Amino acid sequence: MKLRRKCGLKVPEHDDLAEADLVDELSKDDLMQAHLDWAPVRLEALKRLQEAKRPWPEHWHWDWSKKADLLDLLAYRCMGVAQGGRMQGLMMLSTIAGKGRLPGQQGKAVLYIEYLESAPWNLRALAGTPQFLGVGVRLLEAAVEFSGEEGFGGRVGLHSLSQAADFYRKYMTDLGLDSSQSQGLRYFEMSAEQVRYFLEGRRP
Amino acid sequence: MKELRMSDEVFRKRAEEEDGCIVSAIGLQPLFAKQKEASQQAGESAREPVRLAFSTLISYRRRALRLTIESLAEKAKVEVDELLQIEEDTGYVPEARTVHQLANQLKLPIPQLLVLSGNAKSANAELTEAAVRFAARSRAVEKLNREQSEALNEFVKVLVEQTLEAKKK
Amino acid sequence: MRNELTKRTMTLNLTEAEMGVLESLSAQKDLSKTAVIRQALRLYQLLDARLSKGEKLFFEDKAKREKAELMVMI
Repeated sequence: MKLRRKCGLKVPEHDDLAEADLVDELSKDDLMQAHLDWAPVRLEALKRLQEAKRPWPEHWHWDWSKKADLLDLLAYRCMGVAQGGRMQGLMMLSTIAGKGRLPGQQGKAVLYIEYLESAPWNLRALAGTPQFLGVGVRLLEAAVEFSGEEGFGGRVGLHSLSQAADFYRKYMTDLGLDSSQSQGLRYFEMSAEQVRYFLEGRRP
Repeated sequence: MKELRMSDEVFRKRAEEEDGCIVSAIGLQPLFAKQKEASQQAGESAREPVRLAFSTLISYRRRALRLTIESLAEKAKVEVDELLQIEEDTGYVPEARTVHQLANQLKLPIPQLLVLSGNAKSANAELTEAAVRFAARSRAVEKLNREQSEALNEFVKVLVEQTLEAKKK
Repeated sequence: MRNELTKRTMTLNLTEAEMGVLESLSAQKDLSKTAVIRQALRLYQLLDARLSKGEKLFFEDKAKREKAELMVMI
C-alpha cells in the first residue's frame, strides 16, 4: 500500500473536512483486512434490516475476493480511502477492460472500475447517520485522475446494480442494462464533458 | 493535461449529493474468467464470512497443534492439494467425509464444522455471529500470536458448547 | 503534494514497420505511443498468465458460428 495523496472527507453536519489518505497499490492482504473489518458491521446492519423487514443492499452477495487475484496483473490495481486507521472505501481499476461506448469516444480506451464499495458505516441505508460523506466521490475522482495519467483523458466506465444507479447517474451516462450478462448490471460511462462537470461543478 | 481534481467547495457539494446513495460498483467477470450462474455466485458469496471462518479455523487449529499441512493431510487421509485448497480457497466446499476426518484429527465438533464448511444448513444465528467475529479478528501472519490464539480458543469454546447443548436435547 | 510512484525509463528500438503500427494504433486509440506499449505489456502479461495455466484463447465469429483457437507463442 502506498500513499497517493491526502484528501478530505465530509463529516455530516460539520463544515470542516476530515483529513484522509488516498492510498494506492493495495495488495490482496489489504483488501482482505478491509473486508474483515467491514464484515461484522455488515452483519449487524443485515440483522437490523431483516428485523425492520427492509430490503438488503443488492451487492452484498458479491464475491469480491475473486477480484483480488487480479492484483497479480499489471492491468489491475486497487486504491482506497483510509481514515482513522480504517479503510473507508475501496476501488479496483482495470486499464484493459474498458472500451468507450458513448458517441464521441466509441472504441477509445476507458478506465474501467472493476469494483467500488464504501464501508458499511458510511452508507445511510445501513448505518443511520454515515460516519463520512464523499467516499464514493473521492474514489470516482481518483479514477478520473488516474485515467488522465494513463492517457485515457479522464474517461471512466463501470457497471452497477440498479440500486446504486442513482449515484452514478448524477455524473455519468446510463447506457442501460448490459445484455452481455444476466446479473442485472447497468453500464455507465463518463465522457470528457461529464468529467468537467463532475470536477468543476459547472453544467455543460 | 489540466489537473483532474475537484476543489474543496465542489467536493462538499458532491459529498452532500452522495448522501443517501448506495455506493457500489461491480465489474463484469474479469476478462476470460469462467462465467458462473448468478444464483450460484449469490449463494456462495452470501456465505463469505462463514466460509472464511472455516478456512481460518482449520489453518489456525492445525498450526496451534503444531502440524504441517503434509502431516495433517497424512493423518486425516486427505490429499495435500485439497487441504491447501480448504485453507486458502473460500469458494471450495470439501466433501462431508473430508470434513469428518479433519474434525477428528483437529478435535473439533463435527456438526458445526459441517455447517461452516457449507455441507449442512443451519439457522443458528449464534454460530454465524461467532464465525464472523472470528474471521474479523484473524490476521494472515506466520505464527499464531496471542490475539489469534485467544480468538481461536473463544471460537472453539462456542463450537464445543453448542455440541454439548445439542447432546442434552 | 502527491507521492510520485517510481517510474523507470528505457530506449526502444523498432523497425520502420513496427513504428508504423505503433503510430497507427496510437492514432486509432487516441493514446500516446507510450500508453499503447504499456497496454500491450499489460495484455501480454494477462494472456501469458491464463495460457500458462493451460487455458486456451479463442476468437468467435457469431454470425458465421465459427470459433477458432488462437495459437500464439507467448
